[in-house]
Amino acid sequence: MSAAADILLEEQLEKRPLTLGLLRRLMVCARPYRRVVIINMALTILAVTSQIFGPKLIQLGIDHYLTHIITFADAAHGILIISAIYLANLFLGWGLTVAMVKSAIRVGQGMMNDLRLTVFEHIQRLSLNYFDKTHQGRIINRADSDIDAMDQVLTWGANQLLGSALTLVGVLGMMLHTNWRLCLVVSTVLPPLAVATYLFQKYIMQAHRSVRRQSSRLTASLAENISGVRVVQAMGREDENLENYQMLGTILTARAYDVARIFHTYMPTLGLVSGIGIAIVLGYGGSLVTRHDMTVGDLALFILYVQMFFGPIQTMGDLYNGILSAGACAERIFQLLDTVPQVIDRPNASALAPIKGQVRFEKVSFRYETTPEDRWVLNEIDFVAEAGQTVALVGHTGSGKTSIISLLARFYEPQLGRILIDGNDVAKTTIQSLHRQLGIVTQENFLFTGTILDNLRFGRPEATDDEVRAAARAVGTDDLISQMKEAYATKVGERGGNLSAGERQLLCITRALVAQPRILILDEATSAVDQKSEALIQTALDILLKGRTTFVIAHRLSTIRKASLILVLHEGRIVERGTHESLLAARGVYAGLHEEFSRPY
Amino acid sequence: MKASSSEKPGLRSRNLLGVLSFLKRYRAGTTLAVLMLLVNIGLEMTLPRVSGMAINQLRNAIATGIAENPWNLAGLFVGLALLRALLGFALGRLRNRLVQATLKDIRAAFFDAVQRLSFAFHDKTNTGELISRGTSDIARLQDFLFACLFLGIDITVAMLVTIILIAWISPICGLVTFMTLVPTVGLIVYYARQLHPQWRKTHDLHAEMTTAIQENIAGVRVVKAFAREPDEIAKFRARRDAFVSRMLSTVNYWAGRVPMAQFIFGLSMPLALWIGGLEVIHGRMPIGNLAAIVFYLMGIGNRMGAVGQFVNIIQNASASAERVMEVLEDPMKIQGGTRHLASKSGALVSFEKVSFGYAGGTGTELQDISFEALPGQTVAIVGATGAGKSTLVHLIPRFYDPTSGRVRIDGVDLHELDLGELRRSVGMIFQETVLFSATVSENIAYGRPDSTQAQVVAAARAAHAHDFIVQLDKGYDTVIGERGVSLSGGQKQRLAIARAFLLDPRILILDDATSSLDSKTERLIQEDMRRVCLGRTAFVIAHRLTTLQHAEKVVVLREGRIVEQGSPAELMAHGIFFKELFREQQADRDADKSSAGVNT
Repeated sequence: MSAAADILLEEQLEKRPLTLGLLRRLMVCARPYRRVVIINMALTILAVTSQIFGPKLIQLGIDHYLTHIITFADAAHGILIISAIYLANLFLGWGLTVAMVKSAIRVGQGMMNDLRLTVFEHIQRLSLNYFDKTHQGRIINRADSDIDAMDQVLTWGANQLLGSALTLVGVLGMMLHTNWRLCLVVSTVLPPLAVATYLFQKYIMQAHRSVRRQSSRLTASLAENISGVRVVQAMGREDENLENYQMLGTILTARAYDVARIFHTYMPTLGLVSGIGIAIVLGYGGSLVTRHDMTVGDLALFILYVQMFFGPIQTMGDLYNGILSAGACAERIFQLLDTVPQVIDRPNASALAPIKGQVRFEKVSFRYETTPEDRWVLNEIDFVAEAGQTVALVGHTGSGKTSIISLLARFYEPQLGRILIDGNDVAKTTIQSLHRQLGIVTQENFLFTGTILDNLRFGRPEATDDEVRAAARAVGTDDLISQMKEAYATKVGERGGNLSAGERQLLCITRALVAQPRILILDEATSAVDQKSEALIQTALDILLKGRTTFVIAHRLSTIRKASLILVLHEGRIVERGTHESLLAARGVYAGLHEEFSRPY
Repeated sequence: MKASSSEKPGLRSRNLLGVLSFLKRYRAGTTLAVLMLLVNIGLEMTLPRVSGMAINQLRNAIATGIAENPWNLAGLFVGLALLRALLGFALGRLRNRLVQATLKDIRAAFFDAVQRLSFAFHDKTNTGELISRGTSDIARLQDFLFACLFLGIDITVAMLVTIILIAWISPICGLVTFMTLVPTVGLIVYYARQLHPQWRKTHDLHAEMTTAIQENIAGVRVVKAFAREPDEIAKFRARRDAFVSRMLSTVNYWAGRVPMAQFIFGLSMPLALWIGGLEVIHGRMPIGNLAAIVFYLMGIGNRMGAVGQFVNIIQNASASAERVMEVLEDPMKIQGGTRHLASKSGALVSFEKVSFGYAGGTGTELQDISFEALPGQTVAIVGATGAGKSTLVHLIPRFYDPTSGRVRIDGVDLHELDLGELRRSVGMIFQETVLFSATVSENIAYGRPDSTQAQVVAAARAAHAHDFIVQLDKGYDTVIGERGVSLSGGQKQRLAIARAFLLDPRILILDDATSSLDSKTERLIQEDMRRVCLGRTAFVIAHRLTTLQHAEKVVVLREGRIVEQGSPAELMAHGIFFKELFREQQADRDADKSSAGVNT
């Protein structure tokens, strides 16, 4: 599939390096855990101190008891004491580690899980335009795997950073204190190290972003292939799709290799520098020892500290890698969180009062984000539907019927004009209050995983079992449901997989009715159902629609005929309106449409 | 398919081995990498020795007054470090290539497995979970591959060699090290085993969380339409909380115990100091050797952390491995045969006592179906909702197999036909239109990607889609969104029809395909259908009388059985069930005719 199909908003992200702004935002996420963070830091400081103490003990042991031996007894006694202190220090270190780990986990996991909820909540607020233009797979990535990817860094990042930094400072300090000459000479390796680290940071961030982006593409491709697998099989597209997927995989492999190349140039370099550091200690330090400017114990101390020195640097290198890739994830997540919903409640939006049901479109013009600039999907739509009326929208496919309904439901907002319900501008009311009173049956007939009862209650969770059954009886689905394996408790697969399309539709209609809407919208709901069922639905709807304003998109003559008002649409405009009889008499567009139904069988 | 993983350890390792088998293709590279790793470790092991030697040298120098040039050993040290760096340089790259290539193979295998598994599999499988397996579970396998190949070998070899080298210097120190190492490693492995069921449960809860997200996004219109956002948030929160609490208890178990195990190993240092120190005091061991032992112990200490990490990875991976292998090994594929269809034009399709039931359904969706569609005939299938119409036609391209009886094309049992050829010979238009994110042309040419643009346009014209396509932003090159959202339902359906037409199929199946269209467009398409159906055997699932116009034969289904069949005229006259189905529709039409007549 063409990669051009992706709208790569995050391409722009690639240009921006890891910013302070990003860190600041992450720190805001950490704010609820302030106290634990501080405890954690204190523990870390203590743990590092304990660690640095270790080599010092060894040095003392070597210098005082192992090299200049006075008496065997004294030396043996001395070394025993040193060992015992070492053991005690070890024990302390262990205790601190356990406490540190537990507190780090609390913070890290806490932050991650707050983030999970925040992202999910934000997704609920976004408008349909976002879902139209973004791959399902990508959104899922943001809410799920991107957050997971930050796990290590969020939990251990601060700890490791602080610990490493302190270790470096502490070790340098001790080395300086022991023999400043040797310390200075060894420190000459630090500037090249700094440069290497800087370059590393620059290149690896880009590389990580590329990997995640490509990974996202693979997920989207997989997701689409799974959703559309029936068509894939029907068209025999398996081989071709596999080939395309493998091409994506090859690109991902290449991007991953880029990361490895950079990483495995940096790390061996660190190792080499570490080796050079020790060699300097052996060489220069050795000559110092020979000149009696330094003890053997000090030399051993330096070797141990140099090793301790480069350990944290490697950890920080590792961590940096992790932070950078987590940074890429964080940027993507924050980018999602920064997306402003297109349709939101205006400030001072008020809840919509219980609807009586008068609907007025006042010179409404509308186009989608994806519609070309010079075209309108709806052009100066203007009509009034009185409370309780059934309005039928007819017209050729693409004439704008679905768009009118989407606007009424406030899934989108018109560029020009306004929509009024009972005289209230829909744009000035809260979206929730509107949807609570709306019932919609779309073309998709989407059902959620769960029991039939759960699904039927979806629109009004507080509906009682009896109310649900009553609605089912009215529609005529009660018999159908009762005959299923577990009747109302039957589990429905995703997309209602084990039901026929007609059954799914009936359930969706029932669902809409359980919601007791004041305005009902049926988008071609009754077209894929056979005549008998359709008749059942028609009768039930007649009863339930009393007092409810209804908008119907249907091509069925029988439905349209019973409408109080028919709006005939053509290329986004209302070209005719009236009742079935009046329109027939007018012998216009509608009459022409009707003609086709009347042809002898 | 199970959402949670299995208990049996035998099965666990079988799955892990299954994943490792993907490495077989890269045997040579893997062997080389392992060798390089061993050499690397070897180099690493020499370094403490060199340091120790340097210290001994200095000690002697102080004692005897004869100084050796300390830079000699320093130079040696640098040389070894340089070699190690170069090796690391190459090894890191090789390692990455191996792991990534293997991972790519696994991903592709998964993708392919999923797309070839039968409809029955997909009916009972949750899409979100499947995607989770194909993405996050496979991602975990990346850590697993790395861990197995390198981390595991690295830790094991390094530890063994270190113990040996220490023992070489001082047998008793070696023994001490060994005796602290074994319980430590043993404890870590034990804890990891205890944790396994916990990790499993954590994974499952994570998957449930993912499913909630996926469904929520897939059903976003329904959620918004019914203003269910707060409830969805509450539902998600509940799942998240369940996952979090399980994960925290799991991690805390680990966090409390592993450092304790590492402490046990840590005891080796003070013990070595003491015991080794006494040896030095009594002149039985030069001090440089003790220093070397200390350096070695520091080295293993660094690796201790890796043991826990290693076991963690294996445990995580085993759950993921199972979830991935389960899909790869699922037998629910339709196995095709090898025979080919003989003639080139319209096929004779015969159902012989076919019965079928869905796995999760009543089991009697179709019973004892027998009828024939002659080559080039158009057969309409009618019946109430749930009567089995859709099910019936799904058997023709072998999306499902009958539980008894057989379906034949031109006398050949479907089981014997080459599956790919069969599917491409059947053009099916589903009730629910699925389009892909690509250009309009690519979507129309989906079944025949190497079609020419002229062919694509011709198919579009036949489906009466050409007119609206050219009005789109970029015409045929316009990209359609994931669900083809910028198009109306009717437009999507026309594209699906064009797609089927382009296949030039010998059998055409229209599963209520014109339902979204307005009557005028439907009429036009039906005119063309007549043309297009010429020479093809067509099955049309019809709900409306108008659709039956072109049918030469009508089959009436009721609760999974054929109750009537014949030509439309025959059934109009004598078909009881038929007439009942269409009675009301006919009455409507009569009423309209009379009202139209009055107004003239």
